[in-house]
Formats: sequence, structure tokens, C-alpha cells
Amino acid sequence: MAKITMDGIEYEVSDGLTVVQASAEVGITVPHYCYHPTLPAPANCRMCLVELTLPGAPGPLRQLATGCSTRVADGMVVNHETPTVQAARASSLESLLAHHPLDCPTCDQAGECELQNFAHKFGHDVGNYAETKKTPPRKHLGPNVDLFTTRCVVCTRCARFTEEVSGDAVLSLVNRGGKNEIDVYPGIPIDNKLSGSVVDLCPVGALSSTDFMYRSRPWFLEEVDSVCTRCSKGCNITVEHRDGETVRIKPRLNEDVNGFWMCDDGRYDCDYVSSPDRLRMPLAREGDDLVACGWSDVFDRIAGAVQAAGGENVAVIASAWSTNEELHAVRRFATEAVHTSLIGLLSAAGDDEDTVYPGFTIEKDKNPNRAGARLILGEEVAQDSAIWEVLRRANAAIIFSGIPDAELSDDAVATLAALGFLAVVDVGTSALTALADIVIPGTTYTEKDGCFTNSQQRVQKLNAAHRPLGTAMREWEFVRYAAEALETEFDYTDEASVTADLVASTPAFAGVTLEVVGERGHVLGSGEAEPETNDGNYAYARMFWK
Amino acid sequence: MGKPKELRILYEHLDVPDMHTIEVYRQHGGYSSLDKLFTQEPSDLVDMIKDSGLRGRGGAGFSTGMKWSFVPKDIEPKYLCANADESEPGTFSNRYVLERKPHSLIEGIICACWTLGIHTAYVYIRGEFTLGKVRLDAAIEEAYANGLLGKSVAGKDFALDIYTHAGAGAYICGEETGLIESLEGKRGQPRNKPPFPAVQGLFMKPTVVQNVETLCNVPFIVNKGAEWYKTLGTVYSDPPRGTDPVNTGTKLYCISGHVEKPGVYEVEMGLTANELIEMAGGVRGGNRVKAVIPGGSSAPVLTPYECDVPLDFTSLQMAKTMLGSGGIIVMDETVCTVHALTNLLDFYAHESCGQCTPCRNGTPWTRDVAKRIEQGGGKPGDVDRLIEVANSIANVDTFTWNTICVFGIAVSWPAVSFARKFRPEFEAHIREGKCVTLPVDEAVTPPEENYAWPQVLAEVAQKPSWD
Repeated sequence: MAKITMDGIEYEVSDGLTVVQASAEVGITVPHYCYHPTLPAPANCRMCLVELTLPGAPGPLRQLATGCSTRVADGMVVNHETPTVQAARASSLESLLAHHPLDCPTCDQAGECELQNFAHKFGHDVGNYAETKKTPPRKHLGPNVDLFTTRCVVCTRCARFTEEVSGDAVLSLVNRGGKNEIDVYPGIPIDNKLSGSVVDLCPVGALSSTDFMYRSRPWFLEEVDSVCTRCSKGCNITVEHRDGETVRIKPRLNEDVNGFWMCDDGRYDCDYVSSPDRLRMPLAREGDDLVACGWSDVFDRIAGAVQAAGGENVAVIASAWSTNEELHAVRRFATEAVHTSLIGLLSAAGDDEDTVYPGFTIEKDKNPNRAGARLILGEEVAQDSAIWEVLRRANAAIIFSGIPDAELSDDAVATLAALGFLAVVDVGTSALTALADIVIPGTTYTEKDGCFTNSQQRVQKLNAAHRPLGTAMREWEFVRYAAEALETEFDYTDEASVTADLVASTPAFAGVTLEVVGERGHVLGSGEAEPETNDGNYAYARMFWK
Repeated sequence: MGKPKELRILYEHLDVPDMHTIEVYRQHGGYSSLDKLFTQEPSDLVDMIKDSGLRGRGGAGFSTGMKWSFVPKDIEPKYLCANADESEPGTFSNRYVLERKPHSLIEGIICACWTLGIHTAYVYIRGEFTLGKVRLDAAIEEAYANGLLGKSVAGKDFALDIYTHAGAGAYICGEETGLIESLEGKRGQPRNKPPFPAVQGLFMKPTVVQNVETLCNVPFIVNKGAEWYKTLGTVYSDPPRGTDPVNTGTKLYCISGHVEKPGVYEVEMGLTANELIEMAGGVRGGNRVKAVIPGGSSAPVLTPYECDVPLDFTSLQMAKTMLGSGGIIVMDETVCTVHALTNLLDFYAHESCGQCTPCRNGTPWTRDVAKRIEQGGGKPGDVDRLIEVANSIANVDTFTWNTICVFGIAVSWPAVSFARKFRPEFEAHIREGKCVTLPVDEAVTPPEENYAWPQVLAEVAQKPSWD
């Protein structure tokens, strides 16, 4: 710890922090645009200027120091609010606003814009700029990213991100001086899987997501913490929703998992989560058609099919996209209600190898909870192509899917068609539901509580952003009623009761309460909750990165 | 001192035909310093340079020996960068060295590198100096062929390679860290300091960046000693306000503008602006002086009332301007100072690298206000606006800047000094709504107001000990 004096008060802050981070740690906002704790600090926005007295020096340095590139040292004195500091940053702000179009009423960033926030807190009340404003045109930089050039403050965060994290350096400054602009090289758009992150990084409304553009004013959005489902990495995310619809997904800092970033696969998930093709009620097959039916029909037909085929001939296929709790409920359902040993794990097809960027890795396994499934269903559970062997031995099957865009081979279709009865739990119409006798509407990760276990064996909590669609019920609830139809009683009243059951009956999860999991997850077998790795970054993120 | 005369040391034999070849250069005593150089310990040489009082000729006037003493001895490799990106408007002395006496630069580089234990030197040449680069490249080749560069310099156990690099036309690449970035192949954008180049410079290794003129002085000091060097120029015995009193050596003054014989004049430091103008044949057609820029276009302008200031580092600093690169621009009574300032600010708005906010937006803003006044669109209060905007880039009164590099103050200095010292002419533009050139006496702010140099003189008069 370093003892430093800020604005006349002595604080103890963590070692090695920048002045911006140390100030955030004690709750003082140091305004800045160019600085980001994970990128090199060019100190170009000149907003984080502070008056600095070096340890042991008789007085402050004559030139103001930049809080982003100065690291705290024991005995340092920092003043954030001297008249010189106030004048300097107000004049930097005035310069930044000189050419700004002030189009806040139609800007997506309004409400979460650092230009608005800092101008409100640190700026002049009257602008002095009376010359002609520059009006460079809006640019389409890539499939997901537009640049409103007039709004840009040329902080170069985005350019540094493409140099340091995505590594392709597609964004850079062109021209010089007042004509500086962010741009791509002609014919080389920003089109990598991390492109959406530059929109998050942009402190103003310059880089905009074409996906979110004009969709909602940010202040109408509600947020819940969640976990991305697009690969086994389990990036921590914030799901932003409005009126029961997920409209934006953003990364949430977890230095042990995803840092500040996430990939575009997960970011643009709202397309399928909010798709009009989502299932809203149970369907039953009548001839070639699937028609709406009631829940009692569903349970009657499942019970009837299981009794007709004989429990041991019914395959129960769980999903690697289900939560730990759901997997546990499905396992109990298979063994205690259906009495079968034909259990498999359906998973989404993965990539051949991880997609590796210099500062971020997208994992090859495209399932959020394969690690949890293997702990709950057992290491030897049939996975991937082996599940078709399980299904070939069965006369009837209940398949839990929830995997968007799942594809079936011809062999798989033949295997499924040969079954006497097929019930499918899925979130939307799919190749599986096309072959099903009963289709049960499932829930996406935005509609349920529970935990995933990522490839690091880290249990992470997701929270429901909104209710299941239509009459759909959450999987544990469906399992409880289906078991009831098979005259087996599960003592489940809510997600927490399933979690308690899981923790009590599965040794690997012993002691894993929601408190232990916390905001940043808990690695199984690692004992108590993990210590916070770098308080500076979390304090910084809480202040500037929400 | 008497009537000042030219004293050619760096420029000695400059006009001798074929001086750019090693043969002619050697005939005139070239490379003679190397014999003495290699007999001395590097640490003694650093002390000698420090003792000589040599100050960097690039602009800031920092003590060269002091700078060299900051270079860490235990980190390898180290680099020397010779700054030949001479791009300050009004400055053209290095150009003649490169074109006519390139071996003197090589000799200076060899002296500096031996002293500092450097084995790789780069010469960053302004891109427009095509002949200079051709001549220097040829000279380096000759030096290699004559065993003065390469694995064994002059037969000694000392390796040195020199590479030349042409700039691409950016003024800011003359700033030492901008130069380093450019040399590394990046955008020419100055770095934040600290760390200073002496600690982390080129390729993040200790680097000494020196102006060509500074390096050319070194062989003479090595050859003739610090004592001899100290007899040249002026050392003030009791400098007011804690300024560095040492102004030893000669200076290459580039005088341009409205004088009869513009050109480079090498004289001992300490002659006044008036004396230098006289040396250059006086103002053209017997006109009156209206304004003099004493140290490259960044330096605050001098009015006719201030032209008796000695052109050395100490005096100009006390006159709230600077010797800078020694580029002296003389403007006579026909000049509209608003137009002159607009022209300068156009240059700075064009040359700002644009990485940091105050300069990126402030330089065009300052230019736009000045241009509006010049073109007759000025409004009451615009002169104060101009001063305010310029001061927000870098405050000339407190000598503080909000920018990454000193380009900020290089813009504010001329803007604020022109607006303050020629305020009546600026106000006349606003009043009349058009460009008006006032006679000298009316255009200049009365001498009682805003003048540093007369105040210094008055103060110094109380202190007879000051030379």
C-alpha cells in the first residue's frame, strides 16, 4: 500500500496504480478520454491533469501532470481541484466541444457519454468558440461499426485497441493536426470478432454499433449481470433489456476470465434471444403439423410414451447449454423418474482450435457449460457424436437443446426419425423440433437464473433479465412436472432449491453457495472465495465502465 | 567589445571549393581533433564539454555537458541522433553545413560517440534537404573508405556506424521525441516526458539527440580546450533571476527578411539585434524596423524598442523571448503585423501533429481568430480572445503548457506577443473592418506597457556587477 495525500486527505491506496485508478479507488473522479487501464497511455486528451508534488519535493511541479501516466508513490501529494487544474481541463473540454455537433438528442451515447458527463461536471457554462465548425462525414468502418466523425475526440482508444488487443491495427489516425481522423485503410474494414469492443471503448458517441443504433435511449434500459453462452470461456456480461426484450449485451469486467472485453459472437446474441421465431407455447404433432397444445397434454403424452417404451428404453439427452441446476434436475429426472441409463449430452459443434487474438482468446468449444455437465452427468457421459449411438439404442427420447442454429446430419435425422416418440425442449424452431412429436418451449440464458461452469472450472452466476416467453416454463419446472407425471416427487420450489439439491448431492459442487460464486465466479476446488486481483481496475470499472 | 565582426569557426573555409570532400576538408585541418580525442578518457571529455559551457543550439539551450552526464553508462546499446531536421521558419544554418562541410558533422558525431560510448548514430535530415543528404551520404561513404567509420574508427578499438534518414516534411519531427518516433517508423508524434530520451529514447534505449550545430562545436572544444572556448561569447557574472549565465562560443545567426544582405553570420554570442541588422547591411531601402523575431518563428517578437537586447540565451530569456534556433526575421515598416502573425499561425495549424487536444483544436482556432481579424471580420474583444485562446494551449505568462510537447508554447508565444506588442494595429483592423498597416510608432504598443527588456535594463542598472 502507498500513502498518498489527495486534496488534503491522506489515503492508503494499492501500489502500482495510476493516479486515475487510485483516485477512483477512493471515490474521486479524474476525467479522461484517452486513458484505459489495459492500453498504453498516450496522455493525449489532457483531461486528467492534476497538480503533483513528488515525494519529498518542497512544492508542486510547475507543469501539471497527467494522472493517467503517473503512478502513485509513497508520499506523493495530488491536488485535483486547484484553479490551474480546473482551468486547464475546462479549456481542454472547450477545445473538444469546439467542433462537436452537439447532436445529443439523436446520439445513442447520450446518457452514458463522457463528453456530457465531464462537460456537466468540469466544463465551462458558456462556449467561446465562434469560428466555423468542421463537418467531416459519417463513415461506415465495418459491418458492425459506424464512425460519426464529428463527434470524435481523437482519443485513439479504438486505434490502440486494434493494435494491442485485436492485433490487426485496422483503425488508425489519418491526416494531421486539426484534420486528424480515425479511419480504416481503403478496402480493409474493421471486421474481426472483437470489432464491437471499440464501440464500448469509445468514450463519446463517435463509434456506434449499427446493431444498437437508434434502438433505445440508454436510460430506459435495465441491466442484469449474466454470463455469455457462446463459448466455454464464459465471458462476464451485462444484459440490457427493455419491456421484456434484450436489446444490448456488453462485457463486464472480470480480470480472471474476459478482462474488459467480449467477442461479437456473444455481443450480437440479442438477435436470437429476441427473435420472432422463438417458441412461446408447447406444440404437439398432428400429422405433418405441429399445433399448439396445453401443458397437461405435454405431460400426459410424455408419461404415456415413457410407460409404453419402458423407462430403460427411453434416452434422455441433456444440453451443454443448460445451467448446472438444469443439468442436475435432468439427471435426476432420467435416473429417478424415467429409470434409464441412456443419457447423453447434446452440444453445439465447436471450432477446430481457439481463435486467438493478442489480447483475447475465443475458445473452440462453443458450449457454455460442458464442464459443468461432465461434473454432473459424469465424465463418461456420451457426448458429441456418441449421443447418436445412445439414441439408436432407444425407442423414445427426450432431448433438451436450447442450442441456436443446431444442425443435424442425415444419419442423425434417420436416427431420430426411427424413434417411436421424440420430445424436444428448445428455444426456437430448429432441425430437432421439425422431427419432434412434442415440442416444449425452453428458456434462453436471459430468462433464467442459475450457474454455468466454464472451461477453467469456474462457476459463474447468470440472472434472469426477463420472464420466459408466452406460457414457457423454466427447465427445472418442466422437469418437476414431467417427473410428477411419472409419479416421482422432486422437492423443487424455485432455482435456489435446485441449487441446494445440486450442492448437497454432487461432491464437486460442495460448498458452492451464491455468496461464494459472487460477481466474479468461483473456481471449483479452490477453497474460499478468491481474493480480488486488482482493486484499482475494479474501482476504475465501477466508476467509468458501467 | 567594439564593432562586432564575423568570427568564423564552424563556418571556417565554408566557401572553399570542394570543401565537402574529405580531401579538401583534411587539407584545412579536418579530423585533426581525433588525435586528441582518443587519448582522453570519455569521462574527462564529458567534464570538458560541461566546463566549456556549450549549450544546445537547437532551441532550448540546455547545457550539452549536463545532458551527456545523464546518459546511463551501463545500458547498451545507446544511440546518438543528430537532429538535422532544420525546419523552424527563418533558420537555415545547418543546411550549409550539410551541403558544404558535411565532414565537420561526421567529426562531431565521432567525438560525441567516443565520449558517450555510442556505436550507432543516426542523422535525421529534413526531407527537403536533397543536396544536403546527397553530400552527407557521400561524405559518410568517404569516411568509411578512409577508415574513420566502421569497425575500427581511425585504427582505434572503437566501432561506429552512421546512418542517415530523410524526414517526410513534418515540422514536429524536429522535436526530439517526435524525431525518435519518426526514426522508428511511426507517426511523428512527440512522446510524453518523462522518461526523457537520455533514459529511454530510440528503441527505448538511452539516446542523445543533438542539433547539428551543437555537434559541430564539439571537435573545436576537443582540439583547443574548454579554456579557449570560454574566451568566446559572454558569461554574465551575476545574472538576474537565476538564469543560466553561460553563453560561450559563437552562434550561427540566420538573418532573413527585410535586410540588405540576408544570410548566415557567425559571431560570438552577445551582440545586439541592432548590431546584427547593421552587419547584414541594415534594413532594406533605409526603412525602419517594425518587428524582429529573434530565434525562429516560435520566439516572441521584439519591437523596435527592444532591439538593443543582446542575442544570447540569457538576455533573450530575460527579455521574455528566446534565442531558439538563431533564426532572426526582420520586418520593416511595410509589414502588417496581423498578416505576419496569420501567416505564422497558418504554419503552426498545418504542422500541429494533432495528438493532444489543446494543440489539435487550439492551433486552428488561434489561426482562425487571427485570420478573421486580418480579413476585416474582427469583433471588439477579439484581440483578448486571441490571447486567451493561445494562452489556453500554453500559458506564456506562467510558462506552463497543457500539451505533450513544447509545440504548444511555440504557437502561443508568437500569437500572444504579436497581439500584445502590436495591439494598436490589431485594434485598427477590427475598427476599420479591413487590413490597415499603421506606421511603426502607431502600430506598436507604447514602450511603458508590457515590455520585459526595458524593465530588465532598469533592474540591471541597479546592479553594477552584471556585465
